[in-house]
Amino acid sequence: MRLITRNTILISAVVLICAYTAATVLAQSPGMEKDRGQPRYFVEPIFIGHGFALVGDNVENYHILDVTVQKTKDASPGFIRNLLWNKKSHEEIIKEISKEQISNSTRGNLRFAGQEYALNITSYDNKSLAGDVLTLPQRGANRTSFIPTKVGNISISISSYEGDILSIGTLTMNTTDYKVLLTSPMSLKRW
Amino acid sequence: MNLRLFLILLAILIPCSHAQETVSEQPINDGQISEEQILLDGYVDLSGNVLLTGYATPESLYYMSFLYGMNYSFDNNSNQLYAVTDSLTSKNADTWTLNFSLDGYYSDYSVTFYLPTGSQITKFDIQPQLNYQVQVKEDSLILSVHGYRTISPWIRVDYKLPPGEVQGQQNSLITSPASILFILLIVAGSVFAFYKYKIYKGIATPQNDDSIDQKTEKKPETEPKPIPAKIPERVEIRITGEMQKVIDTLSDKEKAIILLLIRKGGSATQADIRYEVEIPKSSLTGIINALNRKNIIKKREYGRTNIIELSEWFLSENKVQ
Repeated sequence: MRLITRNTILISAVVLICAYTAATVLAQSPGMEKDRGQPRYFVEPIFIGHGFALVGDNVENYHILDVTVQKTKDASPGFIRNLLWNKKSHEEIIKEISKEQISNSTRGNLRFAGQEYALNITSYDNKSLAGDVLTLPQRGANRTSFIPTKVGNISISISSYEGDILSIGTLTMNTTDYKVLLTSPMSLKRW
Repeated sequence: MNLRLFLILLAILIPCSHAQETVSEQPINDGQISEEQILLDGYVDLSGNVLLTGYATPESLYYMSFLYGMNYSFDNNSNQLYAVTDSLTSKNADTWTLNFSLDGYYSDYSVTFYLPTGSQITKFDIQPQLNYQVQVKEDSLILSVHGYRTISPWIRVDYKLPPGEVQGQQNSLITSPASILFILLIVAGSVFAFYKYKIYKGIATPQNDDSIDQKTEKKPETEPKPIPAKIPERVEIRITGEMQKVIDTLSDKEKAIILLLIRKGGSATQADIRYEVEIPKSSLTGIINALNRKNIIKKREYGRTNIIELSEWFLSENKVQ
């Protein structure tokens, strides 16, 4: 009896250890390090630029200008959440997203003179970008019922200049025209 | 013993699996402050899992401590990150907390979190340099955060899920593959242990004769299932000349078994024989089979053991009632 009881306890312990190990391995996933796969773009920076908006030719009258434009997949949050809910791994999620016909949209932000604005892109390619400057609600406000107002527009051309990416163009804010001079991070050096 | 070998292997494998985590958790710091950009979307589900995806400069990954020890994808050409993690969220009572804090310097920082439908933000802490807006949509509560030239940005959001959604996250524990496997293994282990217990009790029938010997026996009347064989009534047996001739042809161990059976009135369980004659289990099975082949004894199953009886041929007309 003692022999059988001991064996039973031993086997049960082994089964428990196996279960724990399997659960741990599954939960942690075997890779443990970054996978050098080729996931498709989900968020792609269209343009990132930092520089100045100059009033006319007066270099002493200027404002700091930052522009970020990104192209994003319009994936339904419900669709993504369903994948998460079903415990899909990131590789499986990439495959599922790739299979779906998900449209893209552009969204942009612009900071001019310390004030944040939204940017509604009207056209862009590798060498140029244009869009309308829209108001944003105050910091922390609920944007749900906010109706943005167009307060200006921006148009820039992008080129390589002395080994860097340089964008030159015009910005109109509340009927005032500015000359725009922006540089881009080296990570975007593809133009 | 195979079981011992298996246990040793397990003892080696378990620490190894944890060692892999440790290696990947080593901090990476090249001592330089670089200018990073991140444009990320984070989708949060009801159980606190987050799909974090989008554009990030490679060096910015070093500042994402939640990536250490987890599996994620990053493409160096497109700078696309895909990570599923539950380490950005935590739960206290019915309040979830989303904590997204990074080290490093970011010339461009844009993060959009999609919280579950119906989430209610109860507390919001965010780095003062960051601008943010909240937007309620049909399928999400959208939190957009962006900033320029910011150092070590952080976001901390406390939110509550709608009451109806809480049940769902409990279900996720049951539906995860790891949980299912765990439960299956536990069930399999329990069934196996129960089977072993039943064999010990004599309810199930073992396939191997060698496993039937036990020093103690349970009475069949205590078992829930009836046992087909019965222990024969004890009778006095006198050794006749014919019987003695047969006994003389046997080996010492065979003789010991036959004499024991005669003393016990013609029958005994195999376990009793092993106990009293002190023959090893493996030898006893062979000896009994040999006696059975010689038609000196008969063997019948009795629960988890066997009943060994002197054969009619051996007893012939020697019984005295």
